[in-house]
This record gives sequence, structure tokens and C-alpha cells, in this order.
Amino acid sequence: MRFLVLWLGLIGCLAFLGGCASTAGGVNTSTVTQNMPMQPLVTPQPPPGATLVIVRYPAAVDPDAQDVWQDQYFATAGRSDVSSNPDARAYIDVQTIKSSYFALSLYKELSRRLPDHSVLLSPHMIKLDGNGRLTSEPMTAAESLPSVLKVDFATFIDPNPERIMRARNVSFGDLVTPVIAVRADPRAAPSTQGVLIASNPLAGAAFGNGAERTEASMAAILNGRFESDVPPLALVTYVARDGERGLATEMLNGSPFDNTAQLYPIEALRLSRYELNRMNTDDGANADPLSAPFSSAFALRIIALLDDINLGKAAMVQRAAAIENYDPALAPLSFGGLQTPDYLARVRYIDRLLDAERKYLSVQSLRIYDGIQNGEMGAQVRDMLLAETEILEQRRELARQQNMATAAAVLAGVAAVGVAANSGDNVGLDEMLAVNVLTDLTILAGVQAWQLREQSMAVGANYLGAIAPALDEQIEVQVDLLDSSETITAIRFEDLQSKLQTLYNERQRALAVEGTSCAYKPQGDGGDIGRWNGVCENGVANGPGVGILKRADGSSQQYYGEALNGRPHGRGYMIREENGSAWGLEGRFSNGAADGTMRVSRAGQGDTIRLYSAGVDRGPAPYGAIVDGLFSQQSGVGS
Amino acid sequence: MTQRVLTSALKLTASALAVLSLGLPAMAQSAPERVSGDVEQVRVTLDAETVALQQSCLSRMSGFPTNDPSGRYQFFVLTETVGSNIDAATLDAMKHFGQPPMPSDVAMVDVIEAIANPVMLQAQPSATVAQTVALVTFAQDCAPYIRGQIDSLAFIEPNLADPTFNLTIREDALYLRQMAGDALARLGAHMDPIYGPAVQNYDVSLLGLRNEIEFTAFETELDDLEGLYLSDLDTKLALVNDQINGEMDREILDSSVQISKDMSEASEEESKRRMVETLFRILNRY
Repeated sequence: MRFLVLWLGLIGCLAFLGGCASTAGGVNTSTVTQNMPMQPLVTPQPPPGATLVIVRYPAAVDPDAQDVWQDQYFATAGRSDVSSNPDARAYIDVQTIKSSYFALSLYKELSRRLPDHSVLLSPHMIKLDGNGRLTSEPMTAAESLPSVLKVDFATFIDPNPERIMRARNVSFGDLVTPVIAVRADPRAAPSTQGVLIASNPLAGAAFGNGAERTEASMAAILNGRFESDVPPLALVTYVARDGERGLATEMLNGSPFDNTAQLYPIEALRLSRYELNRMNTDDGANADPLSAPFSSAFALRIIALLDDINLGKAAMVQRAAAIENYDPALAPLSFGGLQTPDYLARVRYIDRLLDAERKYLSVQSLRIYDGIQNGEMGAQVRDMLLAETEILEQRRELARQQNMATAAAVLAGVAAVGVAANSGDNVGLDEMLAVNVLTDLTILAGVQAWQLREQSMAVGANYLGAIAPALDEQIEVQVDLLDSSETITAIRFEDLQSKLQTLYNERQRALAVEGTSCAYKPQGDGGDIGRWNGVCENGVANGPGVGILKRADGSSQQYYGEALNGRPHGRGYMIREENGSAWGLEGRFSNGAADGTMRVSRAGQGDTIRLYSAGVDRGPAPYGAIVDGLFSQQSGVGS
Repeated sequence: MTQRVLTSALKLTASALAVLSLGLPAMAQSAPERVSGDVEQVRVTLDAETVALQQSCLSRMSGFPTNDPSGRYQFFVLTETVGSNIDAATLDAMKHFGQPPMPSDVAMVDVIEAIANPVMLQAQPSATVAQTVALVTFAQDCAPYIRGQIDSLAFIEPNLADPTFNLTIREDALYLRQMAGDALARLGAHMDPIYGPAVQNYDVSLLGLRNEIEFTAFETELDDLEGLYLSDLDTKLALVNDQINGEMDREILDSSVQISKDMSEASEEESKRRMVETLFRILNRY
């Protein structure tokens, strides 16, 4: 009898190991839909010649980078053990398609709420850089335009196909796990290097991108140029484990941006069932299953951010870079408040040219949306989603059956052990028969649970194994669409730019003052010497422009605004970076020092309005004090 | 089609035109009196001063073309532009240097021709200034009439709103204002202790007008260029989208999904078979 109890115990263990299966539920309501920020009363308008939002996403992987991308993906997800599994590789490839498709949902939600031509799409190609490291590059010229926010969107998964039913990050069938990074130019939020919201794992990567971008931009200014550096996708930096850094963060909330990046947790979202069903109808192209659980609310959060941050600060360096393409002498002057008729006349022309560029590239974005969403590729992605959902439902049903079988096995096992234990060593025929029946039931249920589990795994693996040719076709079609679109657009865009340049050159009169390069001496003679791009006199900064100072100890200072005798003087915006931590100071400067009511932006706290005298912080500014800064749009009031 | 629409518009607005050709502006009318009846009528009474001004305006515009809407529109826009943004101080300065003054009922067609005459500018700059004073005074006195004429003509003939055509008229107006500026310079008006600042302001306004006209010309050209490029790009991208989508293999996904289903069915069968075998092996010991 003792042997029988042991035998039943073993069967119970087996049944338990076959175990309770997860039914891959996901969440119906994303964190982004909760605790929503206040919406602006007035729709944000793009700064002159700039776009408001560029939606960036991984659209394709360069064949040369394919293996490295997948291997790094496995390593980053802690799944190197399944890297030789072709199904797992197909599962990663599926995410590129899904990122491309669902990014369109966000684009649509933003476009319908923001002014015409102010939202652009920027598909990226994942590739290897010159040093063999993973990076991504835009496939269109959208990011050559100044923009306020760049929003990275992708789906990210645990690439082990066996964990589709129970992983925290799943994008299969009606489940999607978005990862995002919302960032402005680092000058708009120096303490977070421009990162405003980021998915939990991407925050460090986005921060690292921002820091690199600041370095590149400062180096360009030191060489007398303005560069609109385009960071790689935060997801790619994260997967490459390249350049991640720590930053001040807090959980996603409804408060205005307070110089701390908000973290969006990893969550598998359940797509709208109604919209999924609609996908199967003639109106399928208009179905958007991600809108209700995620993208609609996320778009509103982005719009609230546009109201929080200073649009002028976010676009100023990119705008200078865009102006430089048409008029190098004018670009450095754009940082000051020059009011001379010749300057204002030229700026008016340039803004109109940039506006033409913006409209032109927005046509390309609209056609990319149309080509994918309303085209054959969109139809196939929808079919794929429906097929996956069917498979996931099948697996959920198998999981339910498996759970029932497991429960039956465990119950029968427990009952059999109970009977056997009560009988002691004197086992009668009745007890023996009862134990035998219960044992048979336990075995039957346990084996059935195992069989269902195997069947469930096989269904997923079969799908991922069979789908590879369709994925290749979809990626190929998307790349063809984007390549053709970019080729057609680029040829004509170049032609348009050349015509715009001619039109501009024909109508310009002389500038009374021009931007050049000279010395920037924030501490006056005898102090450190930096570089000034702007109006110069006697070899030093004297008028509007940009000053950059880098010291040997790694600390740096950026100054945007007016100068006199080489030093900050007048309205300006200074960013200081020491020990990897940056903070901003905006207001009036006198002989190189902050002097008056200043807006101070430091990590971990909202902007504060402080009173400065000769560079010394004298405490909070009195209530009603106005910051007379370069960016009048958000002048602060003391408390 | 355009011709038919225009003819129709002319018919519809024939009665309105009859009133507008008198240039009766709303502001010059006393409160309308409504007379009840089957057909509502509006009786308008005008005060004596308004009638006199109206007569004066009509008299001074007498030489403007009457049977050529385009020419008539051109004259009114030209007059309005020349008279715009000239303040009282500037007009006083012009009156001071524009001696002798022109008669108050001089025909504006003659005035415009005289201002544009370079010989007069050289020989008698004060006459050029006096002619300008007459034109500006007319533009300001009769502003509501002039605007009424411009609006009604533009309504009847929508083609008159053509930006290039309007730009040409504004360039002509700038030319006339520059002639007046040159004439004032020849008269040394900029150095005058009393009127000098106003004359200098006039020069600044000339610069502003010139910049505005140049920017309008730039924008008109840019709008054309933009329209051309945007529509060309949109058409070409739509075509390439259709072409690439058309080339996509529509069967491949269905086949993949079908293969996956077949494989799953096969694995289900196999799994069941193995389950039976397993059960058989386990239970066989009984």
C-alpha cells in the first residue's frame, strides 16, 4: 500500500508539473489611460517652420544587421537559450511588422487632434554603423525638419515562443506590448536630456541618446555649424546595450512635466474586441484596435506635454540648422531677439520656405499611412492579427481544458491518497477497487493535461514556423513602399529646395549684421574661452548668438541669447552641465552673470522662479515677478 | 462654364450693381426705414453732407473706366493703396510742400497720370507732391465708396482677385508713392525742422510697403510652386503605392496560415495518438 501512495504522489506531481496554464489575458486598460493630465485649452501650434511631433518606428532590418539584431534582442531579453530556435526569430521579425502597423494608429490619433502638416512619420531602418554596432537611421527626410517632440513607438516581446501564454511582454494576436520614448530636444529639458516619457526599459537608452545628441550638437557649434542630429531609436540603443545612462524618473502621472522623466511600465494590452471584429469587414482599413486601449490616450498625453514644454526652446537649434541650409549668415542670429527690419524680413521668408518643406514632407507621411493602412500590406497585417488571435483563442481554450484536466488529476490523486491512507495496511477489495479507479482517473487527467500543453505549444510553433514567408513578403513590400516613396520624394524635394533657394536668393537684400564665429568669454578676459556663433565685434561675442564652453574637467556651458564684450548680457538661456547633471537658467544676464528674475530648471523638481543678483541666487522671486527671457511664450511668475 | 456662371452672377446682381455704382456705403446712410406691405421695401434717406461728399467723390472719379470692370477695379485699388497708411502729419507735410494745391474737383485719372510723369517730377516736384495730396485726400475722403466699388467689382468678376494682377496694381501704387517721395527729397523736405520727421516716416512706410509687396510676390510664386510640387508628389506616391500593393502576393499569408493549421491538426492527431500509447503503457501494468 505504501508503494501505491508513493505512486499516486508521483502522478500528482506530474499533473502539477503539467500545471495550471496561463490564459494570456493582458490588460484592457493601459496605464496611459489612467490619471490623465489636463488638456490645453488651445491646440498647440507649431513654431515657425517646425513640426510638432514626429512618430518614429522600426520599419525594417537591414539584411546585414539581421543576425546581430536578433542575437542582441535575445541577449537583452535574457533569452539567448532560444536564439537557435527559428520560431523565436520569426517572432522577433513579426514585431517589426507590428511596430510599423501600430505606429500608424498613434500617427492617426495625433494628426486628427493637431494642426495640419504638424505630425510626420519617420520609419527607421535598423542597421550596423561603421563600427559594427547596431543603430537605426530614418528612411525618409522627415527628421531633417525642425520638430518639437520625437515619439518612438515599437512593440517589444519576450522572444521565447513557449512563453507567449505567460510572458509579461507579449505581442501576439489580440495582445500588444508597446514600448515608447517621448523626447524633446535636450535644450528643452536639460536635466533629462530631453526625455519626457519612456517605457521602463528604454529610459536609460533614451537618456543616453539625448546626452550623445547634446555632445554632437555642441561639437558642431564649436565647428561653426548647427546640426540637427537624429538619435537612433531608443529601442535599438536598448537592445544594443549601447550608451544607456541613469536619469531621474517617476511613475507615469497626470502632473505637468517637472524635469523628471515619467516611466511607462511594460504591459501587454488587450486590443479592442469590437475593432478586431471590424477588421474582418469591408471597413477593415478603418478599424483601429489599439486606439481605445492605448493610442488615443497616449496622443492626449503627448498633446499635454506640448503644452508643458517650451516649443521655442525645443525647436531652436534644429530651426537654426534648417535656416543654415538657406542662409548661413542668418542662422546664428535666430537665437536673439533681433528686431531689425532686414533680419525680420529675411526670417519671414525663411519661415515660409520651411513651411513649404514641412507641407511637402507631410504629403509623404500621409501617403505612407495610406499605402500601408489602406493597401494590401495593411490588409495582410490585419489578416495576420486575426489569424494570430484565432490561434491565441485556440491556445486559451486548450489552456482552460488543461487547467480542468490538471484540476481533475489533482483531485483524483488527492482522493486516492485519502482512501489509501484511511485503509492503513489492511486493504479490503472495495478500497483496492476505489483506489484503482481514482488512480486511473488521475493518470488519465494528468496525461491529458500534458497532451493539451504540448498541443498548445505546437499550435504556436506551427504558426510562427509557417508564417516566415508571409513576413518576408510584408517586410519586402513595406521596404519597397518606403524606398520608392523616399526616392520619388527625395528627387523632387531636392529640386523643390533648389527652387526655394533660388526664390529666396533672388529676393534678399543685404543684412546689416551677420552671424560669424569668434570667442566666447563668459568670465571675461583671463577666464575660460569658448566658441561663439553669432554677432561678433573685435573678435568676441557681441549681439545675438550661441556660446559653447567646454572645460577640461568635462563640465560645459551652453548659452543661447544676447552677449556683450564676449559675455552673456541681455536676455538669454544658459545650460550648465557638471558631473553628468545638467540644469537650465533663463532670464536676463549682466556681464556674464544671471541678474534678475530667472527660471531655474533642475532635475526632480518643477521649474522655479528665483531672484538672482550678480550670479548669486537670492531666493524665491516675489509673487508676480516676470521672467524676461528669450522665450516669452512661457514667462514664469514668481510664487 | 465660367462664362455662364459669370453671366448668371451679373443677372442676379444687376440691381445691386445699380446701387453700388453710386458707391453708397452703409456708413453714409441714415437708419433705414422699413415699410410693411407685400413686398418689403427699405427707404434710405441721406443727409446733406453725405450727399455732397458723394457728389464730390463721383465727380472726382469721373474719368475712371465705366465699361471695363478690370480697368475700373485697377484704378480703385491703385487709389486705395496710394492713400493707405498716410497719417495726418505726413499729409500736412505734403500739403506744405505741394504748392500750389490742386483744385478740389480735379479728376483723379489726370492726377494719377501727372504723378507718374517723370518730366514733371524733375521740372516741378512741388506739383508732383500737390497731385499726390489730391489723390491721397480723395482716397481718404472717399474710402468707403472706393472699398464698396472694389468689393462689388470683385464679387461680379471673381477673376479680379487674381493675386498676380493685384500685385501689379500694388507695384504701380508703390511707384506713385515713390515718385512723391522723390519729389519731397528734391524739395529738401527731409531736412525741414517741422515736417522733416513726418517725411522720414513716409520713407519708412515706403520701405514697409515695398517689403510687403515683395513678400506678396514671393508668396504668390511660392504658393504656385508649392501647389505644383505637392500635387505632383501626391499623385506619384499614390501611383507607386497602388503599383507596389498590386504586386504583393495575396496568397502567401493565406497559404502560411493554412499550412500552420494543417500542421496543428497533424500535431493534434499525433499528440492524441501518443497520449493513447502512454495511457496504454501506464495502465497496462494493471
